[in-house]
Parts: sequence; C-alpha cells; structure tokens
Amino acid sequence: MSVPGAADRLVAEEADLVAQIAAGDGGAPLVELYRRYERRLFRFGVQQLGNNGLAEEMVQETFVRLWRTAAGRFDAEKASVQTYLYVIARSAAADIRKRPSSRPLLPVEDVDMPPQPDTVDQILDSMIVREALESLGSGHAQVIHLAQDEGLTQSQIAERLGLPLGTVKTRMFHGMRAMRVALAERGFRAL
Amino acid sequence: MPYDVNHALEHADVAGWVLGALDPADAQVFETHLGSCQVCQAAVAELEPVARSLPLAAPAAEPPADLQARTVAAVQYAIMAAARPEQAPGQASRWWHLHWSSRFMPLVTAVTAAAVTAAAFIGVQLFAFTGPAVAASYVLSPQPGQAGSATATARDVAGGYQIKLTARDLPKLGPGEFFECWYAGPDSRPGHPDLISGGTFSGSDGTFTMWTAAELGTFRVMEITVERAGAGSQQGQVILSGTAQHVRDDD
Repeated sequence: MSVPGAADRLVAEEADLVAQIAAGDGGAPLVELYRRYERRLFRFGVQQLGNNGLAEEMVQETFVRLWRTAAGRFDAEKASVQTYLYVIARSAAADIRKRPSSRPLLPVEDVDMPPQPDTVDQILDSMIVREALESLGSGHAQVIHLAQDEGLTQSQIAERLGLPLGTVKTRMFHGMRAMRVALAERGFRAL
Repeated sequence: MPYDVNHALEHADVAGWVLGALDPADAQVFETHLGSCQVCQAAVAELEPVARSLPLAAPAAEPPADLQARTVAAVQYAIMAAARPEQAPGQASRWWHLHWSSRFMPLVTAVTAAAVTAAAFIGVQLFAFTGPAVAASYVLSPQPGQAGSATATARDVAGGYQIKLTARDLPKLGPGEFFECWYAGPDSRPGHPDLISGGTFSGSDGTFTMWTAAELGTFRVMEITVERAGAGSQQGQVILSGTAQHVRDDD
C-alpha cells in the first residue's frame, strides 16, 4: 500500500532529476530516470511497435529527446515526468512506425499487432495491469494466464497443471481477488 | 448486497465465470445460482472489471541487459553532436584553422570536455550499472562526406563477443550491397589493412546483432563499410567509424 504523500514526493524528485538534465547534466540524473522507466517504456514500445528491436530504438530515442527538450519544454506545473516521458515515447514510436524500414513485410492484416493505447492514461493503465499481474503469486498468476491468454477452461487447466479441479477453482478465485487489490493499490481507474 | 468473501468462496466459480473459464456444465449450474444469489451478483460486479482489465496488460517483455549502455551512449552522442560546430562538406581544412582561432577556443574546449566526459561517463556507466558482461561500447560517427550514425555495445558470449549495433540513417544500399562491420588494429591503414570482419547487415535503420572473436582490446576501432558479395576483403569506403569507449582489462 502506498504511503500518503509518497507519490507526491516521487513526482517532485523526478521533476528535480529532469531539472538537473535541463541544466546540462546528461549523466547520473538521466541514468536514474532510465532505471525507473526502462521496463515500462520498453513494454510500451513492444505494445506500440510489435517488435523488440524497434522497442529498443524507441527507448533510446525517448531518452535522447528527453535530454534535448528538458530545458525548453518540460513544465513540472503542467505534467509529471511520467506523463512527459510517455508523451515523448508515443511520439518516438509514431516516428519509428512511419519509417519505411520499420514496416512489416507481411500485409497488415496478417500481422498480429497488439492493441495500441491512444492516450497517456491508457498507457498507464496497461502498465498498471502488467505490474499488478506480476505482483501475484505464481500459482495464482498461472491459472489466470492460462484462462485469459490461452482460453483454457478450468478442467483443461487442471489437466495441464496436474492439479485437482477444486485447487484450480480456488486459485483462480484468490488470484482474481488479489488482482483486484493489486489494481486498487496502483490506482487503476476502472474498478 | 455487500460482498461476502466466505459465501463467494463457497461459490468459487465466480472467478471462472467472469473469466469465461468454467466448463459448460459448471457454467450452467453457476448461471442458475447467480440468478437468485445477490451475494454472488455482488462478487461478479466486483470481479468483472478485473477480468476486463486483463487484456489491457502491457506485454511481459523484458528489455535486454545492454539497452541501458546503448541508451546512455546514444544520449552522450547527442550531447557531443550538439556541442560540435556545424561543418559544411569540403571544409575540413578550414575547420582545422577555426579550431585554433581565439574566437573558437571556448567552443573547442567545450567539445573536448564533452568528449572526455562522455568517454569517462560511458565507461563508468558500463561498470556501475550493467556489470562486467558489457565488454566495450562504441559511438560511431560518419566519415567526411558520409551520413548516418550508430552506437554499439559488445557483450561477452561463449567464444567471443555479441555485438548489438543500433544504426540510424545509413545510406541506401544498391542492388547486391550490404553493410559490413570491421575491427581495425592499431597498424591498419590504407594499403596495409589490419582488419577482422565483424559481420554484415542490410538495414539503414535498426538494431542488428552480430558476433565476433576479435580481440577488442587490440582491434579497438569499429568501422562500417558498404560491400558487395564476392569481395572477401574490405573494398568499400568506410562510412562510419568509432573507437571502443571502454574495453575491459581482463580480456
């Protein structure tokens, strides 16, 4: 559970990191922000571009653009660093997607492109759901994954995992309850 | 009707119901129960948004370990490029004179300081944040009259190094042409090549993975050329070049 005020302190701390970058320090402050957002931005890139290599490029380009624009465009009064980074990342992903060499060789209808969030709020929601899933115990996460992503029924899951059907039912129940708590703790809006 | 976890646990099928994972017979039984049980209706109302959230989850992909080093290198390259004075094609000889005029000395000092800082910084970052598995990092700059840029990292793998090179805006290749990566030794010069091929690739933009067994501590300069099939040695002009910013000493 987050401590009241901790989120505000985090926002202020990250705004200070960007202020240091804006003042010309492209070293430790930038690396600290990178470490905080690397995984989320990379996953956002995979989601947007459907390709790990392009996502890596998007992450690099996001931090290059952060360095270039920190002094003139970032305003801590108007947006958090998190929001600002995702706005940059979305723009970088759009530019990479437009590039001829990024286009898939297959016809678009044959490419299994993941859904692409349109707004920063949707991007944040997708990161929250992923992090909440990863906070679950492995047994709970596993049965939810098999039902959600592989479309298995509970008896098929029981057979796959070699578990009694009743165990699958209770794991699924407790897993979904834990998921609800994890989403609520992270501020997921649509509960 | 308030949510009652004990009652819901007696009807644990509520989770399978919202996920659509109940077997047909169980689904039929639960649907009948649900029609008359307000406690389970409340449980469904609580868990349905959770089920709807699951497809939103971002991919579970993990960034590669050397992405931080490449990102830091890309930013440092941008910093150096921003500090570098604009140079028009064909002005190389004049640029030398500009360096030493008092008017440009502060700029020269700034560029030099940025380069030294970047080199030191990249080395520090590689050790401090990615561990010893990253053996070297490169920032490749275009040679006179050429375009494009690249960053690269070398990581230890069995029998040599894995090279990940991120290229931007390299020239368009003609039919039968490809880019080739080379490692140049200290005595390599025109007419007396001391080179090891480090792999080939064909995209003007993107991240490319190659492998080499070259001794990076000796063959410190990475070069990119445009080659054609059948040449077997470096025939094309060097378009990008960069020296290893950091090579681990225990190689």
